[in-house]
Amino acid sequence: MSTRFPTFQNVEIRESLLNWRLLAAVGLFVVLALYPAVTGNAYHTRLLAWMMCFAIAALGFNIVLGYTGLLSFGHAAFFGTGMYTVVIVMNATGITDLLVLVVLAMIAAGVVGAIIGALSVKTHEIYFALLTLALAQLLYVLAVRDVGGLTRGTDGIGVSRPDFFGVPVSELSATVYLVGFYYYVILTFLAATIVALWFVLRSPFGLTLKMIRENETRAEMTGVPVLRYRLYSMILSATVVGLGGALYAIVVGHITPEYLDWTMSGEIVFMALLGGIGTFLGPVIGAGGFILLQELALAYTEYWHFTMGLVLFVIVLTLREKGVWGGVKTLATRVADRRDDQ
Amino acid sequence: MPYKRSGLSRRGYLKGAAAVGAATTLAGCALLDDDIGDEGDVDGIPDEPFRIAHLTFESGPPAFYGEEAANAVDMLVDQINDDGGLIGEREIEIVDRIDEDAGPDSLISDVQSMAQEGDVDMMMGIISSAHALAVAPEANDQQLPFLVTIPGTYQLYEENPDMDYVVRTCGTNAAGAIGGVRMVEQMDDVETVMTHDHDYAWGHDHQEMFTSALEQVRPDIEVIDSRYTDLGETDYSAHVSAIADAEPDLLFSSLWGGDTATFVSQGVDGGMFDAVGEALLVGDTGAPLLRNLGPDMPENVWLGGRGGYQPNYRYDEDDGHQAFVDDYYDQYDQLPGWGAYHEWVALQALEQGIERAVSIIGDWPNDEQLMASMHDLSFETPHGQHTMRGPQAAAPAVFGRPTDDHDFPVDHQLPTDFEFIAAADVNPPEDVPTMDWVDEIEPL
Repeated sequence: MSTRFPTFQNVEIRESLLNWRLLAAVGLFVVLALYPAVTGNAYHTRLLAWMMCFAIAALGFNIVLGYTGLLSFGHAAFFGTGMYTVVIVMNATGITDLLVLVVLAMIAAGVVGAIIGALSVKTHEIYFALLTLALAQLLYVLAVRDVGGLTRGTDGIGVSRPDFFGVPVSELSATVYLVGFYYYVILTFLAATIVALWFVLRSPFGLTLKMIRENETRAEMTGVPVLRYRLYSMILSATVVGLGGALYAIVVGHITPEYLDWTMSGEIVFMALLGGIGTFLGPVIGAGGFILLQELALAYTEYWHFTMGLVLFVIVLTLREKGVWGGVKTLATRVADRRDDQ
Repeated sequence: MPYKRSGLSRRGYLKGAAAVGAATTLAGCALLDDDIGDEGDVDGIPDEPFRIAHLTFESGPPAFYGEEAANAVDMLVDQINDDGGLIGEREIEIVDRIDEDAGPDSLISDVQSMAQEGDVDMMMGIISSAHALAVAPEANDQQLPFLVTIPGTYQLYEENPDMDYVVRTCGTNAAGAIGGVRMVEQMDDVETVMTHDHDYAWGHDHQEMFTSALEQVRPDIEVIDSRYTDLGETDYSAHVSAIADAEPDLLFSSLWGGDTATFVSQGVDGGMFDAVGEALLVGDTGAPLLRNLGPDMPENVWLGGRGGYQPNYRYDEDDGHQAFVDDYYDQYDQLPGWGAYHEWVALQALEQGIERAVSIIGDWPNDEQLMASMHDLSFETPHGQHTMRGPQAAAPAVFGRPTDDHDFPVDHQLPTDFEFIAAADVNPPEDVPTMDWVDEIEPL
């Protein structure tokens, strides 16, 4: 039996588009878009770019965990595939156009997702988690071993800055490239991912995934091809996570096999848990919160591993699958209810 | 014991440095863009201390190496400051210590932050080669001076040849691997060899360089097996048994740190060292390994690596080395290991580079001049003149046998019967890729 999560309110899309959350989201994106130009702070811009790439990955991961009810410990395979595809394609073919590279990375991650999914969707819970972990580790080992001379082993491989539709933006300095161009590419992709997933997960496809998550037997009895839908969710999830990886490869500029390792899968799970796997936007908040927490912990204490573990412990213990974002929403609802009562 | 940085007077030193500076090419070109000032006319020394951010492992398996590095940096910075600071006029402040275990994502963000905030004058340190390959190009892009002190990957400058803001003061891993080959080259009774290395780039690079070069210089020797283990491995029993069963004439290993101690200890217990003719441990092995092993160290072992970083190596001949070892022992109750030595050498390069720059331009150097001033430097270290070829050091290889026969106040063995192999024999000529050179290396 799959893990149970709170059901999502089945609201009309039209109503959703008019509610305060949408306006708040638009406002947030405007702030994010203006931030680099207003502050000129390259460090914060890089930090935000880092958060947004992992927000995309965590959103993608949540398709499988939050919507389909499958806990994967192999999503680093998709993230790393996205990263390595960018650099390998650049080096092997000379393609330097950002969009082409990103699309190829998404396709490659989707293919890996299809393979891992096909081999693992028949299993459940701990078996699914371990199988995805094991399959992902195979990719990690291939990267460590530098099979085919593609990855340069554990020393990793540097990534050049790509151009954009033939415009030689790669000739800009690293900071100008990030602050003046690449940050907006990531922001656009994040917005597009949120919008696309919002509609996809509220479409019959998304509702079917939730149905599988809530009661697999009932879904099967109503004629839903459960395994096929699980596979679809893995492919969609892998493609989105691969997008996050592809975008992040250019932010970090150097790729090592650690991005394919199970510890990276663990970080993505951590992000989703921290933000709230039972919510749509929780993973976005979780990715930002995780990176911010890590940076703050690193800045203020040498016991940063302990701090991170403690925070996760408290979050899981107190907020469970709702995470920070779900907790905030619950708190807001309670405050509103109390105000109504008064 | 006070820290003896130089036996020369400052005036004499500056004259010598100026002479060296005039003879250099790259460094000289960058520096001579500015007016040459008089020695006594040093303007523009900033009032605030020279701020360094130190990158090292504070957690994770390599933290033992990082602890030595941090200890050495703290001690040496205090000593430099007691003497008035850099060129006796500007103190150093370690403004931040960054844990490498946070990974390249955080490290690169830190670089961006430091470059932007301008609250750091230079980064130094770093242990992991993968981290160096990620961080150094970023630091260069951000024009933030970065003194790389420990990672040995030969790819750092071969992949990034044009880094004006990055200098590496340690030798590459070629020195250890090819140093091992030069040792075997002299061993007439070796016919079979086994290798045992870490299962990541450091280990694979060593294995590849060692076996490729050995095939060139001693084609009569057969490499019968190459084995790998993970970093942080705790159980070597299968490898110990395999090596003992194979009875090779020589065992080559680039394992480093605590892993070497665990491997050797389990090898002793499993009778491995009775079965092999000689063992050659090139992974920066020395005093810390011998301290960990106590009396268990077998006799048929050569210890060493890229540099003569053993506390008793040329201890009596080099006052600076003697002072460093004594001070480190007084402060930390143990002899310095390779992590400490690498930082000591780096800080010497920094001091001398700045003295040289000031002697030429008569002013405090800007960031690019600061890094250029360390190019092609040469200064005294335990293995003689430590020579920078352009922005990175070319270290010799030094190996020794463990012995109880020493006068140091420690109850463990130390290496002796040292073999020194010159830097020119264990490093490729300038501008020749390391693996190209290894594939065509000539016997000595």
